[in-house]
Amino acid sequence: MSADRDPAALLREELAAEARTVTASPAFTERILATTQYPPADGEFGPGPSWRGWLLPAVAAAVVAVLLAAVLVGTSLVRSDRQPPASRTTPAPSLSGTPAPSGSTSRPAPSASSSPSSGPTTGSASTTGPSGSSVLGPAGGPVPVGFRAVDLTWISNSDGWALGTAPCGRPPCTSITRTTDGGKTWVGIPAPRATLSQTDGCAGTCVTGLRFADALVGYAFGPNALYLTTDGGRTWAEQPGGSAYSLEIVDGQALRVSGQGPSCAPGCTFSVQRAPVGSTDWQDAGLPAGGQNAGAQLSASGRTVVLATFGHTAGGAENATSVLFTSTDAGASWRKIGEPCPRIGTGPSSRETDTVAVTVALDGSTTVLCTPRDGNGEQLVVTLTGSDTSRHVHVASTPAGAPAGNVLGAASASTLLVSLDRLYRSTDDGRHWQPTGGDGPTAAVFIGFESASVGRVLGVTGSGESTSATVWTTTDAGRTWTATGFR
Amino acid sequence: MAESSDATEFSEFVRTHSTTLLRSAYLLTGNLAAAEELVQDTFARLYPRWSRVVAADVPLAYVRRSVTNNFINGRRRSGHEVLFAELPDRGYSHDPADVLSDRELVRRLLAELPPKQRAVLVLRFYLDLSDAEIAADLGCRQGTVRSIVSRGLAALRAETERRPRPSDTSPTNGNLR
Repeated sequence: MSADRDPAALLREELAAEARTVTASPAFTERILATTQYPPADGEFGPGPSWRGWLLPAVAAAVVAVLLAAVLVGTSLVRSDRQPPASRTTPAPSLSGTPAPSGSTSRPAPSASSSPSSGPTTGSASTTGPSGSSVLGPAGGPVPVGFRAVDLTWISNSDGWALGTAPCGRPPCTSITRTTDGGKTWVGIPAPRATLSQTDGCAGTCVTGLRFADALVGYAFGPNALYLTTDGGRTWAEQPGGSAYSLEIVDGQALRVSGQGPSCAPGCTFSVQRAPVGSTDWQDAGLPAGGQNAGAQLSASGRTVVLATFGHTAGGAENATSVLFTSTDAGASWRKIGEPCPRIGTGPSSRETDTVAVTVALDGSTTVLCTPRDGNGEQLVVTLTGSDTSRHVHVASTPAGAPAGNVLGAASASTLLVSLDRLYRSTDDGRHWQPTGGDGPTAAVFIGFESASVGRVLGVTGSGESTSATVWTTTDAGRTWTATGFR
Repeated sequence: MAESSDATEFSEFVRTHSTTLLRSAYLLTGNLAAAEELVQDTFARLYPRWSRVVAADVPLAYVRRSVTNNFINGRRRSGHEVLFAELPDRGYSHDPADVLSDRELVRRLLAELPPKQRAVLVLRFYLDLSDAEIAADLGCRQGTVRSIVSRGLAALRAETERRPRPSDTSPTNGNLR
């Protein structure tokens, strides 16, 4: 601008130009709707409410002293006022990841959640599902007796698959089930001939996770095997030399984390490749080279992908840092974020924390679960929001006294779920936590959100042969849950 | 707000006007993450009394006014946010050797103003509100608005006059790469 340019005109033009650089993303509007229409339940989340939190009960209490009947009516009215709207717009099916880290054999290894639908591939017969809708892929049969699920994947609010195992006479007993009605009913479909790592170990060829990109194209994967189906699970083809410690479907691309073998002792050198959905043409994703790591995990939502690599202490504690990488263009380019988990305290007595799980919500926020290396005290929940150039980092703690967990979920930057001794939910960035309702899920091995309001939890109870798995569905961002078994 | 029709109306409003409100909030805060937080927080405050919002003559103006006042009052969501040394930092840097662009100059001017004065300039020069409208929005006198506008323009004029022009900068040696 020349010095004699009219300052008012300059302000007008530059403010307008600056404003045009900003557009509200669908994820942002989803987050607004989720946080406004699904507030904490009555009495939920601790001490914090403002005067509105206690004034009405106080007035009601005064009325009690005068007229008991008025109390009953008043209480009823207050409760009904705080219910969510009776109806809402149906959220568009999308995705959000909530895995625990892969590459670790000491923990359950649930993997991330739903994947975007990139449209069904043509060329396969369709059958009729339980709801009468047309179903692509095999018709399916009964769910194997004693089926125990370890991983879920969804391409819409209605269409999902579960990877698990069931007692059988001729191992491997890995099984896959499919639902086309949101989990109300399931059918068994063919599965790759590989053991299930979580239950049977990984002595031979094994799988740990399952992802479907659409009704026909799916991936079953593990540290030394990768299977691809293009006919909805009717047949599975093992990819020569394929492996995937973690795999997600993002914007028509499959992204996988590969290592050099089934074991990460003393460490793996991970790489990330991407291929168009259904293709076997895997190309390097151009991630900055990393060192030896103990594990790696992908999480994705929309076009946002996060890769967490977990350090190991073989080379000393200084090598044990986790590193976070983010991509906002479906894995085409990456940005190194660094160690997301802070030290607790300051000075010589400060303590290191390590990343154990990461998840991306529909609004693009990334939430990381950090656990103290010495195993003492609460875990940290670190949420990163904003763009790469304007990042907000929020740190909170898991509920006091609860044991450590490694399964995390996020409906948005502020609405979080973590599985500890039971499932806890926060709607204020982790400041306060509340156990999910008495009838809700307990411990979870999988938490995933398909939108800001619709999510799934895979809850497992019992152990050994008596283990049973339940799929829990929420349509109000985790406030209430409905259970469905595999039948 | 318990009526489902209100909820639907609210959803439509959010989807329709989020960008408009976010842009104003961005100019107020100078930071996209803070702008998103401001807009989200404003909607959260208005949602329980949404029927009052839609009853206003211009609901968008009502919400925009709430965003502005929410910003000025600093009633954003509080939290113990920390920044890590390892995480990426600023979107752009201020190198004193650089000649400031017009955009940079405006950014800097706004960043140095107190919230209310910044709001006045945004309402006037981005939203083209009159003195009376701005005064009503912010609950101040029109004279105050005129004074803030006048001082803002004077500061901008002074900055542009003080700024070295590209032709004034001497060529540097050793940058031939």
